[in-house]
Amino acid sequence: MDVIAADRGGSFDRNGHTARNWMRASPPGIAFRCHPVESSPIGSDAQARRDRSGRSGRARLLALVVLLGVAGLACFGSGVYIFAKAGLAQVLLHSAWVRSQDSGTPAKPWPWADMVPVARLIAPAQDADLLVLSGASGRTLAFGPGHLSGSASPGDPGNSVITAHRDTHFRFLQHLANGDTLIVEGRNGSRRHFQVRRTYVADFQALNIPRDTLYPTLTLVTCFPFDAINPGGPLRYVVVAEAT
Amino acid sequence: MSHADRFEENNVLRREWRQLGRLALESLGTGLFVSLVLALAVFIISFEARAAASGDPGQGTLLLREETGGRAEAPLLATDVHMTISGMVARVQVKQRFVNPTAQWREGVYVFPLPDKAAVDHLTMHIGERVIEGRIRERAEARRTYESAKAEGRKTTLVEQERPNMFTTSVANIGPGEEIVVALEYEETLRYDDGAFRLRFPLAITPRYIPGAPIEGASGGTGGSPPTVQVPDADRVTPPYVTSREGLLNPVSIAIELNAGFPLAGLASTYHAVDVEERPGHRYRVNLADGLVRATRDFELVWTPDVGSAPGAALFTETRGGKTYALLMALPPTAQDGVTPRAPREITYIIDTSGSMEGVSITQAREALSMALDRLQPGDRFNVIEFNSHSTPLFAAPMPFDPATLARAKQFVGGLRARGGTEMLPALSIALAGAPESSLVRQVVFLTDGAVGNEDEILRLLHDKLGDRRLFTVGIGPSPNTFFLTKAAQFGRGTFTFIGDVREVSRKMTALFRKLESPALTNIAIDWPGGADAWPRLVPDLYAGEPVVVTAQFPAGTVQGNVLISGTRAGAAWQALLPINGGAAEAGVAVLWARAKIDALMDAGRQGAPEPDIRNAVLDIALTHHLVSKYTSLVAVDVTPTRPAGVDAIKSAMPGNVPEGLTGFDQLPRTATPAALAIVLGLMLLLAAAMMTFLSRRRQPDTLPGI
Repeated sequence: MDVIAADRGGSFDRNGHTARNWMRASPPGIAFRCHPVESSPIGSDAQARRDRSGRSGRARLLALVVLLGVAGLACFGSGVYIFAKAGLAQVLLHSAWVRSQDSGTPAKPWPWADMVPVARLIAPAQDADLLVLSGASGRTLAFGPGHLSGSASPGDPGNSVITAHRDTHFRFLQHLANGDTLIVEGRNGSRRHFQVRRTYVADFQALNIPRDTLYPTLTLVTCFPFDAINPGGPLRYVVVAEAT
Repeated sequence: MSHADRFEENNVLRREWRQLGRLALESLGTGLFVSLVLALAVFIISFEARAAASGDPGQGTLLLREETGGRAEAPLLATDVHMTISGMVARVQVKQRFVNPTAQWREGVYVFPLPDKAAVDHLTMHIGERVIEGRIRERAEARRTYESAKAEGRKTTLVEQERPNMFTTSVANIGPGEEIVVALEYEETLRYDDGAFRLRFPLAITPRYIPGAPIEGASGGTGGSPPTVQVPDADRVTPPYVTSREGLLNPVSIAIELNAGFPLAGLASTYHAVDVEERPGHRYRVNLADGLVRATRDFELVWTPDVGSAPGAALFTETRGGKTYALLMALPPTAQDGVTPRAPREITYIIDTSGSMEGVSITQAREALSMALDRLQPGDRFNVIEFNSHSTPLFAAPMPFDPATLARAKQFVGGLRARGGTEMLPALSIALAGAPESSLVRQVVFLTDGAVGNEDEILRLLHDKLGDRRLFTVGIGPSPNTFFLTKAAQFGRGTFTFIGDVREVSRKMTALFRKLESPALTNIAIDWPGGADAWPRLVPDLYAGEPVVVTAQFPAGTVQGNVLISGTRAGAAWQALLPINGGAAEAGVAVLWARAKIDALMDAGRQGAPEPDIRNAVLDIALTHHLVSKYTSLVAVDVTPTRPAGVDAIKSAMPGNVPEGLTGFDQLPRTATPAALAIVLGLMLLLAAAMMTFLSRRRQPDTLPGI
């Protein structure tokens, strides 16, 4: 339950655009220590310099160093943790996918998981092999690309919308070019090939993703630019692929 | 120079270097902190700024996408609805105010919903103080009139019917800063069911699903979908949408004058807060409590007659153009409960799990279906069919009801999720497969929002394949396609139930079960005295609590004599004689008669009558009665050109609101993690800690001499 609870605080919907929201998306408690203001390093440091005599000054300095170190480690760790979670979850999802294809019944990737993989998305040229989860909430996106509920099932007629984080699972989108191949594997093992038709960048408010398309379509959406540090940018990178 | 001197010098030098280094490092560290704090501050501020920018821009700053792909200001729209209700009839004026806040000339195209029985018969275009009357014309001719007036720079308005409950207003040559008011009027018969009058005014269109392969290069409308083989006018029925974050888009005010004519036991609006003011003589004035509402869910007003004053029958007449028109409402007495035992039945439930049901609708549908399953009894057979892009039946064929099948059905229903297209035809084909006749009572209960563009195609299938089954439609969601749902129920000889809120599920479904389980009044025939042209000719079957509503046209003079209503209920003949003399005079009955006749003609077309014949008959009646129909439009043209030559009016498709509670593609999650930020911040903090450690170590020898 721990892993999921850690991620539950984050509301990733576009209406909840407060700084606190993304902060809460990282493991609880750790995120707050990322805040340098909390430990007030400048003031204390200056204080320490003035207070040159006595052990209390050194002790204070030492405490500050420890505090900074711990905060830094925690902050660093929370970042690494996000990547680790994203990577490990995909490994577990892959094994669950194979198990569920063998047995014919959906298998849980980990005992407390409350999500099921709905499809496998492969980009052969980009060496990406991802399991897509049902529902595109902040919670599912931590573990894998999320299929937007309400959109067509991947591989079905209509528009199937899949989103993922630009810095984890959908990092490879930047390398996709027109004509590249994407493969969607269904739970029954059937595969459907798609070809990238176009890629574009748009403001999230100006995105107009069609609900129904006439050919089976995959629309992959992630944030843009790919290398931005700030996770709250308004731009989205969209890849449209049609069934071949 | 002595050794000691050199040492001393070296020491001084070293100390100076050390001090310099420390200073550099300290300033570097401070700089890092400052930049860190600054970066964080900027980051937080930019976050808040974006949050503010993505919030309500408020009315007047609407931005919308144009064909060029850029964002430009577009005309704004506000709607004022004024209803006058008297007896069984509502006269409604819908004022659409097109305001152009931009510096360019504009053309606005707005696709909007109206009640499915609305007889639109009047259009005026208001430019300042001037009022220009609209004229009824054959549809293509009206379009030509509009286009040429537009090209000449004259202000012009065109009102076309896309579906009986979906219309398009086009307004051309709205000057910079100008306002043009388009006033439409329609007449409507009220729905009386289960002892209550209901008036529905749709305020949003649930986005329609368009099946079929595209027709290349045929698009001319402003909609998002290209025309397809199954929906040739798809480009006209798929208007753009915006979501709630864009502020109070298309605000609506509703004012109602209700002349009930009898004491009321209750008067309420189902989904909106209203202020009710009672006036002498059973008159009421109803206004929206908030003044303006967002057009995101249908408005419904329900009023119940006091016990004892509930109407059993009513007749309204109007004399117009040398003819007398009559509107008759008669409520057959309800069969006594317990007289007929409940016969075993075969019920097929069809549930729509397409993308447009995502959000509140699928929850309502699951609840309703779950209740329906609980109502089954031993001896019944049943099946559940789910459909979106594919149809998935629970059982290959209807199965006998027992605890095991019920459990499987409950599990199936509990796991239903909404996604994908609305391929309705295959699902109905599965439900209507098998012998057309059966010894069991066969019923199909169809839960959907009806958000499809190929209504006529589905109605045709119902007509062809229904056999002796009965189809009951349950409209789900904030603004279902009531035209399709009522028509499907009529073609299916069933009844339409509307569930607009999850709290209504239990009450509405109970009412539906009562109808499902009590026998209907069938084979209804109405005999009018002398030479009446009555519509509809084929009166739909009636369920408990539903009245007969028919209209008739007489040669002239007052209507005298008796109306004989006959039918069959549970195998027994039933009839009632209704003496009519005069009836209450009521303006608008003629239009209602014409609308009923057009409706019946269009139904004949859906059932296979040749289109040219239907078209001619509809044209004749629509032009005579000044009615908008599939083949006729209203057009108003200003006399003098106002737009200077050489300037073009930019065409904008006016967006509608996404119905409340529906979630869709606009609800994309955020797709970047704070991982990189956290790692960078973490590294900076660690670096700072390392630097402080280094400095504090270097500082110790420094401080020692002072002790």
